[in-house]
Order: sequence, then C-alpha cells, then structure tokens
Amino acid sequence: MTSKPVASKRPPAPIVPAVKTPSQVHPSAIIADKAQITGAHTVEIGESAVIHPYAKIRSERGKVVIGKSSIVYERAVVGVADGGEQDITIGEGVNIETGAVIEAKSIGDGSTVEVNASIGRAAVVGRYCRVAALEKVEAGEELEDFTVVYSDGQRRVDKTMRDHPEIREAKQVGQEKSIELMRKMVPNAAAKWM
Amino acid sequence: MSRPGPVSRRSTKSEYIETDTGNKISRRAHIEGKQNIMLGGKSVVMAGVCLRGDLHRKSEKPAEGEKEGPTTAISVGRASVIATNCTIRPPMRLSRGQMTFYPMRIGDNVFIGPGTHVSSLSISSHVHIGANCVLSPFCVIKESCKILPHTVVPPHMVIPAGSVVAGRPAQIVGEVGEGWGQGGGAEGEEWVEGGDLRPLVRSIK
Repeated sequence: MTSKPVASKRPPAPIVPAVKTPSQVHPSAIIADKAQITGAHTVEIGESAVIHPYAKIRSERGKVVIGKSSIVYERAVVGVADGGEQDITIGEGVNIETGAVIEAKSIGDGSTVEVNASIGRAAVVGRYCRVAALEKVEAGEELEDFTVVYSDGQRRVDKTMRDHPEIREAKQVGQEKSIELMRKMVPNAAAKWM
Repeated sequence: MSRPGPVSRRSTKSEYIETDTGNKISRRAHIEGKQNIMLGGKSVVMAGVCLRGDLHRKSEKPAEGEKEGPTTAISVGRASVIATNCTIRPPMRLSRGQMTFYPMRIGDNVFIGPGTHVSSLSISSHVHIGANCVLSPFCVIKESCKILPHTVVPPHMVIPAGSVVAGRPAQIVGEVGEGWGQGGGAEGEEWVEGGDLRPLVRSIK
C-alpha cells in the first residue's frame, strides 16, 4: 500500500494518560500495544489473559479485575465511565467479544459475551453464561449459571453445559488453545503496563 | 498562545489515501497486519473500520524448499465498500488439535453497512449488508444476497444465492427477485444495492 501524500509525518501517538493506571499485570498476560487502559483505580490482569488492540479497560470508577485465560477482543469496553463507584470482576476463561460493553459487577468463569452485547451496571452474570450478539442484560440483573440470552431477550438454561462437565472441560481446552494461538499473533506490549 | 495542534495540520490532508489500484483507505481506519490484507482495487475502507489482518493462518513449519511468504488473511474484491466502524476479523476454530485462523474472502461490489461485524468465511459478489449486523464465524454468504440491518447470522450458516435475510438469529425471509442490482445510472441514483458500486466508490472523497 503506497500512499501518495507524504507518509513521513506519522499520526500522533495514541494519547497516553498523564497518570499511568496502577496495574498488576501477570507476566504471562498479553496486552496489545493499541489496547487502552485508563483510570485511576487498580487494573488487575490475570495469567494468560489476552487484551486485543483497541479494547478498552476503564477503571475511572472502580477496580477492574480480569481473570486468568480471559480474552477481551477489539473495541470491547470493560469498565464504567461515569456515575457511581463500582468494581468489576471478570472470572476465568471469559470471552468478551468485539464491541461488547461490560459495566457488570461480575462475570462468572467460562462465560461469553458476544459481539456488541451489553451488560448493564451492577449486573451479575453467572458461570458459563452466554449473552448472544446484540443482546442486552439490564442494569442490576442477575443471570444464573448456564443461562443463555438470545433472540432479542429470550432466556434459557444451557442444560448440555450444565449436565456434562466434559463439555466444560472441552471449552476450557479450546480457550487455552486460542490463547496459545494469540500468543503467536498479537504482539505483546504488556511491559508498558508493568 | 495557541500552538497549532496535529489536528489542524491533518485537516489539510484528505480523508482518504488512494492506492495505485484505486483503493480508498481512510486515515482513520484501524488496520492491523496490513501485509496480510489484499484489496482488489477501487474498494473503500471508511473511517473507524477495524481490519484484523494480523490474525492470519500460520503454517506450523514451512515445507521443504518453500519459503514462507506473506499469507492473506483478508481478501476484498473490487469496488467493495466497507462503511464506518465495521470490524472484519478472520474466524478461528480447532483444526487438527490446534486453533487456526481461516482466511476470509469478500467478493466484488459488496457493500458492508456501518457498525457491522464480519467474521464470515466468505462473502460472494453483489451482496448488500445493512447496518449493525453481526456475521458470526464461518458463515458463508453466496452471491446477490441482501442482509437487512440488525441481523445476526449464526455461526456456520450458509445463505444461498439471492436470499433476503433478517432477524436474530437470521432467517431467510425472501428472495431478492429478478432485476436485483439492475437499474442505476439514472439521474440522482447512480448506484443500486447489489449492483455495480463503482459510481459510489467514485463519489467517495
């Protein structure tokens, strides 16, 4: 891709916040260079967690914890920008896909929040839940373990996931393998936040 | 004392960078791994579009005597338009015990509406995709389809040629019928959905 206009002047570097967010990043976590971590509260990023480029972690209004083997994809936002104080805890092996907005109090282990879904303030999402693309979980709502939110607000329980521990294990193996792959693909800039 | 910021300096530049083959790429697009992205020519990538070319298929060990060249993760045909704030990310799945990204292909004269997320395996030519859709991993969209706004196409769904698709999850709600993509060229209507998008590409500056 050759550009005709002079390409020597690079666009200004991404704005680095004046005060660096106090963060505890596990040495094996992968944080892309273009991921944003902002805010004054602590951000904890667990073992083998992956933060993709253009993802945003905001700790302006409280501590954010991202568990082991969780993946935050591009343009997802984890954190509360304004309003009251609230901490956010994301469990282990959670997938937060592109453009999802997470303002929940907690998200349980093995859950998936799909593309452009949103989880409202102070909501509690259980373990192995799945919030399908474009779905919404209202503020303060509590989702029990194994809930699936799909098709414009319908709810059901994923009995396969609930009754078969081997499927949960398989899911975990898949998660580990995708992290293994991303370790090769996403350049790690975690040192910036350590 | 006001110092001229980088914004004022940039405003003198045009919004789009035009390549030798006539592709127009917004300066505000977020492109990762550009060595793995192929644009066919006369295609447009608008502001805020996120292209994840860095997520490509990595061969385990290159075969003997074969040197490892750049692999294509995303290939886009001619005169396709990717509107603002789209995300194009190649799909991944387990293959032979390993997670692998699969290269994705987008045909010619494809319009992808603003805010749409695309992880499909392939999109054929003359497809019109509305705003804020989600095309889940490994879906296949055949020629001349129309996907209405706010549709969620489930993973692995194959949409036959000439379908109109809508809903969450997506269902085929009709056919585009005869004359899809025909017309256009009339006064005030230089292009139609599913037709030749070159006039549209030309009008984008």
